[in-house]
Amino acid sequence: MEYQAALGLALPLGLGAAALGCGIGIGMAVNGAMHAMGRQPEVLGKIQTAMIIGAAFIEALTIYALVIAFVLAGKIQ
Amino acid sequence: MNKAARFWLLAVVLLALVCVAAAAPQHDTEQASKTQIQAASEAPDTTAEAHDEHGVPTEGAHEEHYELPNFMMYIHAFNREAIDGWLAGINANLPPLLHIKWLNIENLTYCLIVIALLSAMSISGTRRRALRPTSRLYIFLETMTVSLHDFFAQVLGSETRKYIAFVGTLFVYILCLNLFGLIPLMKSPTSVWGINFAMALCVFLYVQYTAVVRNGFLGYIKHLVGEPWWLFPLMVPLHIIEELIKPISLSLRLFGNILGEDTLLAVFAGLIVLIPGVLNLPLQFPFMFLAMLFSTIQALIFSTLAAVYIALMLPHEEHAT
Repeated sequence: MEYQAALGLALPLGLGAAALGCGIGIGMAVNGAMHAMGRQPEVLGKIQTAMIIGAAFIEALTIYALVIAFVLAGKIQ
Repeated sequence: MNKAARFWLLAVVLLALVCVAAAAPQHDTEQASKTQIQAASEAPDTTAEAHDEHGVPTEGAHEEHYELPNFMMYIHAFNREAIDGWLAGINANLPPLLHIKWLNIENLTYCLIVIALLSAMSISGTRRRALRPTSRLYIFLETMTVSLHDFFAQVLGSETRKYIAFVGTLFVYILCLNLFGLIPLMKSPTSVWGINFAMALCVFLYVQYTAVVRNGFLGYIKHLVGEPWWLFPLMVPLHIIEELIKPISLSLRLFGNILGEDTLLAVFAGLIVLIPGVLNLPLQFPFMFLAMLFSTIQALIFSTLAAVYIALMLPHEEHAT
């Protein structure tokens, strides 16, 4: 297999796998935050801030995959 | 005019602006965004020939990705020989690592435009301060500052007044940089890693400076060593690596998000030509709302994480990081 074909196959698959994992992670985080907000609406602001920061950390993993994809996509010519 | 009418007028004007922003670049992108940066920087009428001339774009130093046209591209395209000669003359005297490309000048120009706009707004807004202000701009700035203060107080607590200048400025600056890409013929400078890394480096240096000043040098060492002191051969390298990873992850997150969103817009703008007929629908239109949402969230996350890093270094926090 030529390396261009390998890259063309692997980049979308890898990005999809990263997005899958991060989707599950963010889903769990937001699920917990929503439960907490529903139970204690008086600390809604704090939970929201913490949730957004946590979601940013999780989402960064997909972004790393996206950056790698951008870097390697230049090699498919 | 009553309040509701004014609100709807504003909403309609904003929506019209967004529609213009979505529809305006489509003429150029029909040809431009199908090609890479190098070819896209040609003027629209010469794109076809120029691309054939260059053949395979061998200038592989650029990352090749889709991009909406911006006005600096056109300046480069119309004065290509003069600018390239000028840059080559400058680069001949520089070491290879410091070589200047037109892309760098492009991004810095947009940064400087944003800085000039923000500075002009703040200076003219705060010229006449009063207890009962009459200037609307001043009221707007004050409301923004107060709401940012309230937001960052959730992270920084009683120390907010000291650090709001840094993190609040970061928020406003990054928000403007991100949203700048939605204006026709403009570009988000945050879609380049260098600009973000510079800001993240500022955060890193400021956090280390804060840690040394607030804890004292011994306190800083103590923070690096961690809780059970006899674990220091393990904990000191770990903490140092953690500190060094922070700016990289901070900048890469912003860079990836904004680059991805701009690429999405450009790809969908390039898809317009696939629809047959005279009707050119702005296909990227729904994604501009997504772009606005992501721009705001990323600016919020960058500044909130800067605030969190500062808060972790403050002495009264009793936790093992």
